Amino acid sequence: MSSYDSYQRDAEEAIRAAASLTQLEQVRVSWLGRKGILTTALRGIRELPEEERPDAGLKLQSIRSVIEQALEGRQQALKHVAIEEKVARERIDVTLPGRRLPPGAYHPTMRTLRRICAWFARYGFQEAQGPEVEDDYHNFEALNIPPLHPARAMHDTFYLSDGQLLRTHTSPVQIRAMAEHGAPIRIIAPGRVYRCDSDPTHSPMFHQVEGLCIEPGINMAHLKSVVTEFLQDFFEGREIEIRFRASYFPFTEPSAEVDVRHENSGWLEVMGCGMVHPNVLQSSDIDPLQHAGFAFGMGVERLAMLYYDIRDLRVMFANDLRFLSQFSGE
Amino acid sequence: MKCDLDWLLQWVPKAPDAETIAQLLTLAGVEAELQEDRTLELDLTPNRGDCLSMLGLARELSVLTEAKFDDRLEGGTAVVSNQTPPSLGSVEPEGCSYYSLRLIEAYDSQAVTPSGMQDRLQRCGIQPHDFLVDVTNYVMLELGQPLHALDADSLSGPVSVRWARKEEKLRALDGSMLPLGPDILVIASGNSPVAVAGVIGGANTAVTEKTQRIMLESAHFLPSAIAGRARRLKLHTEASRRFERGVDPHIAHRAMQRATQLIVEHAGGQVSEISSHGYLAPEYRAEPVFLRAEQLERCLGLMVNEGVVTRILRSLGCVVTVRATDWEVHPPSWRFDLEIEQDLVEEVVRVYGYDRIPSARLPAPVTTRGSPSALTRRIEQCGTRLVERGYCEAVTYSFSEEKLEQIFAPSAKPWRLLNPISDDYAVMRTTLSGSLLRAVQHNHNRQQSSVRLFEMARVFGREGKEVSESWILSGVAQGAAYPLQWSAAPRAIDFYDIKGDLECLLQGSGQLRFESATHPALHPGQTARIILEEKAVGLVGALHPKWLSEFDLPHSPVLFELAFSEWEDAARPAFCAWSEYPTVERDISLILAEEVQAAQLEACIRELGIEELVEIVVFDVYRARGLGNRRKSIGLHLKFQSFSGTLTDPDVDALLERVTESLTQGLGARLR
Repeated sequence: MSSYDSYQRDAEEAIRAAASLTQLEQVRVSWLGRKGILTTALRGIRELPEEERPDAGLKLQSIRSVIEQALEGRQQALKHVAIEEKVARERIDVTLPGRRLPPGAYHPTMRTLRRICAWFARYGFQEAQGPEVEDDYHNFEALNIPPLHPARAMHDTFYLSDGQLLRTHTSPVQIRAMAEHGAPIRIIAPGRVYRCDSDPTHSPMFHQVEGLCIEPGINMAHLKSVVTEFLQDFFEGREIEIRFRASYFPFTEPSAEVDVRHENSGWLEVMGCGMVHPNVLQSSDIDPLQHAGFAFGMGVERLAMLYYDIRDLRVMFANDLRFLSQFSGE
Repeated sequence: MKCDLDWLLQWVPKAPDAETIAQLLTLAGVEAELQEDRTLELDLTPNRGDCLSMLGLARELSVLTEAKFDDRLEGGTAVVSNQTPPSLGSVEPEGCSYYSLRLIEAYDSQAVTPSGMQDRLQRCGIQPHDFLVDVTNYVMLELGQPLHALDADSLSGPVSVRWARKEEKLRALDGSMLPLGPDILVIASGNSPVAVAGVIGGANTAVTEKTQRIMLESAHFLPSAIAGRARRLKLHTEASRRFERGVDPHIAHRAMQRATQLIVEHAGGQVSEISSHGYLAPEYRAEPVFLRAEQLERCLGLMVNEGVVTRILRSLGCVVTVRATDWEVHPPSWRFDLEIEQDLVEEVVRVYGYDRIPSARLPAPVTTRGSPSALTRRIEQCGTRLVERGYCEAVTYSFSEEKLEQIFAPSAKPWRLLNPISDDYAVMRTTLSGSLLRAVQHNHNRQQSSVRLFEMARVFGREGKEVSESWILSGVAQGAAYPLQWSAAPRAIDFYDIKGDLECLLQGSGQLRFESATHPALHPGQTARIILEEKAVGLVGALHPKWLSEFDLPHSPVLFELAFSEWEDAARPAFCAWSEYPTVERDISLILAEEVQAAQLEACIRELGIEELVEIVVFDVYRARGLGNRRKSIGLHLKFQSFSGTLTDPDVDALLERVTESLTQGLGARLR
């Protein structure tokens, strides 16, 4: 019987001594395996005298269960250690830079142009396109700018040939859209425009967005509300003041120039607008007695420069990565 | 135009302070900026020619401030001696409604312009000259009427006003030789022109210090006879600026008297009666314009009190009859821009104040065609995909160098601008690649050599005599494939990077393939045509090394151009069921002749029509001497899967056998 007592001690010692899961398994096999010490001892009970067998059986079964528990406990501990070691081994420097392809960026002008169009789309202004190479009729005459009109001096025009010119504004899209759809109509027309003018504050090519709304009952109060709401949204929560002042465009009457300022800076012109001139409606076969409408036009570069606080127009066309990449978060 | 505020205030003495004046004028459409020297810098719109004088500005100021306008100041009468008035020839009525001349002699030719006058001229931005010129300029600033003085002794006959003859020329005061023509109105004496009417005088008849007798001219030239001429002659003068916008047709006589008075006052002289031709317009337009109360409200969305409207119109100088539902308005002679009802609406609201127009929410749209067009959607989608893949959007000019066109589109005949700003922007481009490469060059020259750019814009082609415009998406990339980093060796962008970008860009737009192609600007071994749904939609390739020096680049960037109009909208994704049975994957390595392209391998395998073969991936391309001359090894990873059951190894082996057999027989491949 006494040898049984040493079994427990020895087994527990061997289990404690096992330094790895592999060693632990060897210990298990040597005690509990088919030829293991305990297994053999259990098998040996048969050879004991009849009266000793029950006690020996009980004793050995209890030792077996102790060993099994010890093995289980030791296995858990060793697994834990193994994971701890793996984790320690796999430690990395998380401050090393990640693998990445830096995102590109939309051009601030183009992003601004898309923002403007998206805003007006909410009010049902459908995007319209017109050619960049225009004729005199659409660019000038239909807009109430006959030949020799002094307003032509404000439009230094590029010519391709006698009848073909690069549009000086997006307003001709109004004429084309009215000819195509008649009234009622709400359009927003973005695009490139050209003026034969190049200095630090003028680019020979720039972008405009033109809006037109012709419906029965439209008046200047509607124009004022749409423009004001647009500008407030455009400048996104920046406190801005907006003012309308009288101006002149041959194709609108009354005409207004819209200025904004924030905080105490000076007033900055951001767009021209007005009620569509009856001559323009008539030239598009729309009855000015039935319909009225407003039109507005804004310079996209100018709005983008105000929005992003860009001071130099030329950077808008230089395509310098030091500039373009600044907008990658947008 | 500059305006001396204190001079102006002589006419409106009770006007408010300078800041307020500038602000009121600006809000009412006469943009004025107050300068430190108490002058106003005016930016006038073309319809407000009437504000090109102290008189006009003073009227405007009086309307806006309700301060009294004092017109008795600077009256102007002249003592007339009994000289014979000059004789006048014919005057072209289509160009000149009133023409007057007066002879002045025996004045002091040494007379000096009083310093007060000189000062005012200067403060209005006009350099003092000599006495007679100063007086004419002074009166022009004061009353808005340009005057002209001629040396009477240099004239060869009676003065007439006529259209110039073909081929006629005139040496102008500034020394330039002006080519004239039948739509240019001239003042002539004898047989020759002595001045371009309303624009500039001639050198031969100019008043000099030797002049003894002058002819002083005050005339009303019609805007239609002057407009555009100065621009054509490239000769913008103070006179042309006023006449083309419209000078008060009533003021010519008064201006003549005022100038004479100033000359006599400061230089003495004998003055003749005025000879004139045509008629001096009355102070009010005979033809009335009607303003309906209903229309006023309809346009403004605002009711303006009837009495206020009447008062505003009268203050503007109109003769107004108030009637039951409208106003009958006779605009004053100096306002050329009050022709229709809408013009009067603007006048009323301009004076009443734009800030008093209410805000009214725009009604819901009558039509609901607000959805973005296919073009807009495509532009947005392409932009987003390229930006996500590291490209920055560029904006370059639509006109470009002829040289770039020759490189990138040698067979296109680009439209040429008649008046380009420079040779660098002489033609309308038919391709975007050149402009983008210039942008790469710009960046490379500034030590930014890793560049990915794209642009979406129109190009301009020819369709017979017409211009055809089409949208192009173009991109260019060069430099490091990714930023320098610790865990991967640096690598330069090559053809396959860009091809990958294009594959992502066109994902979902249809069957896409690339085939070898050539283009004069591109590397002959690294150029592919992009074929979408069996339609060529663009090109991708590395820049031909022979063009590197043109762009100062050390390595060839990779370029692509896609025609927007050439591909259909991406189809709406349609749900496709997948098989739940396991896939079996096999790799094979093949030794092939160098000429055999990967696409041929795939086509050869696909031709077998093996339904279970769901994916073919080229996972390795390997070249080594051991493979044999001009041979390469390609590794293919094949994935098999069935919809009807689990594939067994013998199943897959049999399929793989068919694949290798086909490759061996069809393309001379050898299994490694």
